[in-house]
Amino acid sequence: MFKLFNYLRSPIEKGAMIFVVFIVFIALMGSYLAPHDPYEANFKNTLSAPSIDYLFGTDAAGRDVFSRVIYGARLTLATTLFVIAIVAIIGIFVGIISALSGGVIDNLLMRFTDIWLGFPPLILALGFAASFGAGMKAAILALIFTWWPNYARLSRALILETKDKDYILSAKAMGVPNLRIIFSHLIPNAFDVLFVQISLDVAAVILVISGLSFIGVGAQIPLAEWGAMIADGRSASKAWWVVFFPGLAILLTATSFNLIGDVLRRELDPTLSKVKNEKPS
Amino acid sequence: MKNLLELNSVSVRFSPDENDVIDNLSFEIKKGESLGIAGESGSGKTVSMLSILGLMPQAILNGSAKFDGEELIGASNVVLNKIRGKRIGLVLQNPFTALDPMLRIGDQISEGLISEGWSRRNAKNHTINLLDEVGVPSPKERFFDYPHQFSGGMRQRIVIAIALSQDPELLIADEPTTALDVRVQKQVMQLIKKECLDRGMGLVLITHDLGLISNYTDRVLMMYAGKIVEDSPSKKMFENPLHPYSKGLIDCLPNLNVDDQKFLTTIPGNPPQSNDFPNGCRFHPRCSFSNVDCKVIDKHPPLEKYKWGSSGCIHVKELF
Amino acid sequence: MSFESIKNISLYIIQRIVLTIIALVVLSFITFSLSYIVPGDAALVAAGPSAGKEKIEQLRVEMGLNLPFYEQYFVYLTKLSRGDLGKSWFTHQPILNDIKDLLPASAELVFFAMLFNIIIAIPLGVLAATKRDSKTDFSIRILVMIGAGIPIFWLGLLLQHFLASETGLFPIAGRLSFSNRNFEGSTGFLFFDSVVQGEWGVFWDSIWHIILPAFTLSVLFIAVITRTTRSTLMRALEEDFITLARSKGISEYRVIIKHALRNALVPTVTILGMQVGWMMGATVLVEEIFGRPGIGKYAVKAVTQSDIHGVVGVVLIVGIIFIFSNLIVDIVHLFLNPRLRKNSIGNL
Repeated sequence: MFKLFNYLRSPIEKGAMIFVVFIVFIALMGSYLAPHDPYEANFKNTLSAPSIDYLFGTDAAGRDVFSRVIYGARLTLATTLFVIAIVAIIGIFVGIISALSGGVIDNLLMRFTDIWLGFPPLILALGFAASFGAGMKAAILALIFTWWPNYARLSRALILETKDKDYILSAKAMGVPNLRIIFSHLIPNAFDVLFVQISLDVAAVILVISGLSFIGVGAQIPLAEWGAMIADGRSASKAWWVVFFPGLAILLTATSFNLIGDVLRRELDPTLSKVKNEKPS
Repeated sequence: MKNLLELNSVSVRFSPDENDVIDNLSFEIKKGESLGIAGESGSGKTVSMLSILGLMPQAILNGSAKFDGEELIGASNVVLNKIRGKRIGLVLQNPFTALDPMLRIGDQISEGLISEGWSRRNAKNHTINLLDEVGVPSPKERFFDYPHQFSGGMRQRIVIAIALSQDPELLIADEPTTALDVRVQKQVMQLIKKECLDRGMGLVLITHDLGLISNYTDRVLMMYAGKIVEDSPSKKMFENPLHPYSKGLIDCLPNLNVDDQKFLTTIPGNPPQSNDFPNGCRFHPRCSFSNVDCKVIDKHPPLEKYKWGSSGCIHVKELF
Repeated sequence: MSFESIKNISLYIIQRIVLTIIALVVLSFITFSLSYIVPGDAALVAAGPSAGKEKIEQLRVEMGLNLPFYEQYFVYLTKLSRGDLGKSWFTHQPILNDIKDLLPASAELVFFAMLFNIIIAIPLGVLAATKRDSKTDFSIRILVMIGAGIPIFWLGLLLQHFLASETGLFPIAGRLSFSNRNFEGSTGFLFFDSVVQGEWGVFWDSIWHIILPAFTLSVLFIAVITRTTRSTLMRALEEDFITLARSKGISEYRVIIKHALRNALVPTVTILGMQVGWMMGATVLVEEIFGRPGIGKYAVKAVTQSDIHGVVGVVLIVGIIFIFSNLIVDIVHLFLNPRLRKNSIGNL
């Protein structure tokens, strides 16, 4: 997986990888890097333009936008990775059971999965927000409910593709116990492609979470979440920096993960070959 | 008689920094002639024919390939499209993938005609006649069927019908029976032979099956590692090959008549990849007749006329 | 069409319909559970702050709140079948009516966003696939990456600022201009109603108002479809039947459009169908910014007003639309892919 660096071809792709590393670094080191306390309000200095002290300006409560964007990185990435981890585990679990059981169970599970594939998380999040109260909890729950089918479908397809491969059959023939086959052979080989999905999903989940926060059912102000910050800054149209910088952060982060996912797909998916192999003549 | 198809020093590679897959290939086909191109997988048989027709978009070609005097290499799509279909027909190897799964077979056969300007009705009638001619039962009804509704042998007949639809002068058949059952193979080959005879079409039969060569072609080119090593009339080649490789392949054919044949004969080793061609004669590492001379010549020997054909072996006079 | 294929098609459709019904049931179960688990006492809220204990108990019985879970669910289902989604706490109207009034606005938005999607994404995808690895392909891929990474609401705000507020090229908000505010149509679909009534002014006005929001909504989906079309088309172009098609001497245009694209569009159409559901969910973002009425906005208001039934009503309606659009996509699939008509149902 970390041979990834060799596969980056254009400068834009290299830039994306650098940005991904950068934003993860920011997320981890955020508290040491932010010049100001992101939650500290200062009503003498509201909506001030970007300056040396306040690189991205201040918002309607006088908080430093730059520091808030940095803290937002941690919040966004942590939540996103949490959601994806849970969704992937559930989905993979269902996918493996479905693929290895075959027959009626497989059919039933897949039909059930199909029903929910692509259900709009935003709407369901509204439902959860009304039941449990608005906040990250509702957003996370809604995402978990609507996202796992993607992983179920994908893992099932990958397992089906791999399980009949020769090295699996020979392991079986040698008497290796099934569970061991699943964990040491089946999963590692089949799930390279899963990283493509994960990378792309990071981008997508970030967009959904910030969207939910924007309409008020995700993170709540004063949490330094990028989407919530944009909602907060809407009313002050002259102070463009309050809206611009968090949005730019979302754009760069999501786009970078998309690019990395695309690179991964190009390298890992042999069916999308660049040059058709010479016909055996 | 003017040559129908004439290749001169044609070379093909798939990327600027790779080696030529075929280089310096030259041969001619006369009108109405049936030529076999034989060799193992990877010898360049298919590439030679498909690339000059512009059917391999990633191929980089050099040299000259003239069809009835008209240059194909480097020609624009407009020029190529005047020749493809209308003057040269193609039968592909795999009938299960050669047909568009989304379109009715009748439409696929009449497509070429309609693009030439034929009316739908005329094209349809012509197609139904063609289907009948190639042996598809109930052609009027089956005109509207989809490829998946036919067996492999039937699909190949449909592919042949497509190739014949615009009445070409040359038919190129690339391993037309490899994907089919033995019994069906014979039917399909008989059909091809009959059509060529009836229509006076030239035939290029690309195959690794020497049996087909002997039964259905007048002349054969033996290819190895991107080069032609022998060019002889088919019958003569079987009786009297002019190259160690040809001899080796013929010896490989199991002989049911010889009682004391204990082991199957093979040619030891594997054909080389294009990035790894041996020095000198490309066949010498596997050749039981080779000596030091074969390695030191600075390139693979060109074809020299000998007896009834041509040979690419420098020792041909002593051996054969 | 043979008897065999009619039988197969019917089986396929029946199977899909059964699955749809199951999906609807599951959906109703979820929406009911959502309203059931709302913390707090519905009877208390309905009765008001000054009601006495007796009144609250009476309401509780009336509202059926003392019944066990499954009985309440059954009551819920019966109400649904009559179209009773409850009453909204802030509009005091039956929720179904509220949603019916607002649905056309959201639907129009989705319709135009889909239109932009198809018109822009498919040609871009074809262009990228046919000019593979060229500068054109590369630029398109970069645009796709950005489009897939840009937050819809942020883009909306930017477009609104630069193309509407600053330059006045497009209206800032609303479905119609102030002068047309009293226009009443019979169906609620402005484009349809205005044409039917011959009010061309209103028609063009509504178009002018929908361009920016619909475009904003579509960008993300355009990115996805462009990418999908590009990859499916590239895959199709490598198939044997493309070589054979070229060998017939037909124009390259025909080869790409009639053969390659037709094969490539099948998976793309499936994704387009799924996007309808996503889009319906995302309308709220655009409605917020461009001040348009719609069910998304209604749901958000319901959340802030703690009107669980309002929210749940929207979830239900959007869910139903989602499930039915999937059904339609499946049936359309049937007609696009001739092989499905023959194969037995098992391999679906």
